[in-house]
Amino acid sequence: MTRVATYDAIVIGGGVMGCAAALRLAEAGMRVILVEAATLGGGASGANAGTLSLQIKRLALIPYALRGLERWQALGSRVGYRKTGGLTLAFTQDEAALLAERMALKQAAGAPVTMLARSAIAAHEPGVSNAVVAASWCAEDGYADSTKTGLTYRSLLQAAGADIAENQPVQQIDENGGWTVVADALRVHAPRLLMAAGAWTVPLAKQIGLDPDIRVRVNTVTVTERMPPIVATVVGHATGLLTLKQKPNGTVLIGGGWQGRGSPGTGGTIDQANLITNLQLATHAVPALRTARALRSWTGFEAHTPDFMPLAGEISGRPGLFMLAAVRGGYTIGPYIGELMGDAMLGRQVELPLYDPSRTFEAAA
Amino acid sequence: MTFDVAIIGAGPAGASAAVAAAERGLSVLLLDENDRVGGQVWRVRYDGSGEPDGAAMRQAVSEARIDYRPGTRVWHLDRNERGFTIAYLDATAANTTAARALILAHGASERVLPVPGWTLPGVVGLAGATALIKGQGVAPGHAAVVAGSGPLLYAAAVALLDHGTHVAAIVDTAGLSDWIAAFPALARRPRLFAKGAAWMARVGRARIPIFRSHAVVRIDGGLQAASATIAPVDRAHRINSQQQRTIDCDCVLLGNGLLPVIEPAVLLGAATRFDDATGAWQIDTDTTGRTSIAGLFAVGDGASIEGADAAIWRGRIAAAAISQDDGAIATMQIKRNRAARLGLRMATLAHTQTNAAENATPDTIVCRCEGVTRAMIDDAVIQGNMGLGAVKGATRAGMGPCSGRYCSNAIAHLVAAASNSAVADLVPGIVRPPLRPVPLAALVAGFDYADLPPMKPSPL
Repeated sequence: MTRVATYDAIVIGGGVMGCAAALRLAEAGMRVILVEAATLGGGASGANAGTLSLQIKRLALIPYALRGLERWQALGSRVGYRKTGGLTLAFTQDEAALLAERMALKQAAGAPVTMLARSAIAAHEPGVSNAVVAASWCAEDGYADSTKTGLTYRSLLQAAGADIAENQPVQQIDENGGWTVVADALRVHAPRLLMAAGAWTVPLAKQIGLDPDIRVRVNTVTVTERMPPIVATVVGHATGLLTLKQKPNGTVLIGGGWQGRGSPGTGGTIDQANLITNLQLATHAVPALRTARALRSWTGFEAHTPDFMPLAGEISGRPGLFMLAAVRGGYTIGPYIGELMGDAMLGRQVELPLYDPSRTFEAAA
Repeated sequence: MTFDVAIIGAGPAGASAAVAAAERGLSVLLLDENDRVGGQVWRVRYDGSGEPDGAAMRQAVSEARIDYRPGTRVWHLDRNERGFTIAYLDATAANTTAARALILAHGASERVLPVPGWTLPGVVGLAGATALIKGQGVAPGHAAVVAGSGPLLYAAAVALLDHGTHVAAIVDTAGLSDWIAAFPALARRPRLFAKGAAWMARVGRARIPIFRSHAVVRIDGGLQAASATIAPVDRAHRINSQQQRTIDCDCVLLGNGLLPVIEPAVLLGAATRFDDATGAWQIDTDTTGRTSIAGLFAVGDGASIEGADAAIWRGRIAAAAISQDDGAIATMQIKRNRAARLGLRMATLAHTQTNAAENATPDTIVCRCEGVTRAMIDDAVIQGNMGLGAVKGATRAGMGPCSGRYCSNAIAHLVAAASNSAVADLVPGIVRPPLRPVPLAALVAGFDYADLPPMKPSPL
């Protein structure tokens, strides 16, 4: 049996949130180990379309998203960050009304979003269709290259002196005057344990008698071949069911949360009908996309709760046990809420409130 | 409608399976990317002529009750409790069809080992060049160096000669002793042996220099390949770069054997196994072609390389297995095994263990779509990216338009070498749809915004 190594904190889950939390702890001088079942950034943090848009964040999470955006900005070219500005489009009068109502609320919550005059839309983004009835604009929107998430955090964590154990699915968690985590080639103990395994959090939590109400969405993303420049900004849809941007290498990434099938345990596959609807919406928004060829579609697992709010904080009655999962807009918010989580584990005052992971949900959400 | 069985690929394996399934009274759909039945091995020549075996197969398909759809490109495969759905494009539109059983007969792709200069214009695969000459009547150049391994080397050289192209040299990674070792298997297949002997006689008459136990180590040229530099390969498959020699040419044909096209089966979740003898992943099937997925069969070189003669029987056996005609299978297996012996021997000979780790210098481009060099792959491994998926994410190797179809075998060998592990211990790369690049215009044709399903806005 492997000897037990002792740490100040163990973080399970090497996505953006687990990484950011572990980094915060290591930078504060704690001895930290990050345990990841596969590879850093290999789950939703690497599979998502990389959109950093304030226009699609939940109202209550906009303050978190603004601070998350600052973190991505600071990481800059290491994560392929680009500030392009973003447009959200409406194609019918009903959608236009929905958009205006929603964006007014988001503006009030602190997101610098404005509704564009019909005549100003083409000036902000010549690539969008003239079928657009109304559009909102946020100059702060942009994207990062999600495939660089794991690489970047790996080097940051190494520089901060954190230990990283990849390809180590957790087999057992014991509560014994702290927390002992056992994996294939690993046996570690610490007084603090953070579960930050995204859509994979439920089986983990069950090992210590918890059953968080985490549900999973299977989001589809598609990339095209390289193309000449056809769209310069991040383009979305009033319903939130489209994201689209062209990367510096000319490929166009198309997302928006259209559902595939499968589960975190067995893997995901695309649903052909939903994929095609996603692409219809994309070509409707940016007509030049019709000349593109789709190269690859894949799915990522996004965890959420019945109220679509995060599980973030210490588990009540289980001192030293923390959870950070199901953050809607988690890619944008992740670097910041991970820091907050680290602060909570360090016993520091948190800048913005966390979300009690032990709360109960109304039935029939 | 839902077909009893759908078959993808109308080469020897797929066409045989289709005819045999139709003879058993099953409703059969046969999809093929080519315009004519025959696959690569029985490709109809540009002047309309072709091998008698291919003509016979085309006749059989045309006479059988088969819904044959040539010129179709399958881009996605899915399964449910009723069977399989197949999404494909034809000349005009995107279509989806369904079948209770599915036989994959995608055939092989060729292994091209990356060497410096292999991305220059004028450098083509052995099989690619053969397809070009046969199908289009066009040669890739005027003076060719034909290099690599396996019987295709000599077949390609003869195709060039027949076309009137000068062959400056044949560079065979295998030594004479390797060929002698293959002799018993060859001698048991008189028809193929005669074919091979005729190729060798033709090459001899044309006085083409043959460099045995040699490999191309570099191709030079400006806008076009202008010379190939070769060097001896020793018994331990090491290249002796002290004894180089340079041969002038304007095209280089490269190929080190064939790789099963496993992506469609992997997309459906079928299990694979790594075959050390040919240095490639295969589909894990039983002797009838049945994969780990119920109702899914993989036959012919697309499952594992056994050659065209065996592929015919493998197609027929799968059709018999689907119609539960177990009695017919045993005698067909004997014929298949007899044919497979030579195919396996040739596949092993073509592999020759000389892999990308030996041929590629640090500056050599490995993934040509994304311009990823060997050094970039080595660095990604050194930085702690373990496994094919992580290296792909770090370097973009295999993420271009070919989706790794050309380079994934070379990448796997390089990652294994850089991480001191065996290729067999790597997890093969995940396969994502589409299987081929799909024009968005085809998928969204006829779309009207008003037809969109009701879209529930995301929570505020």
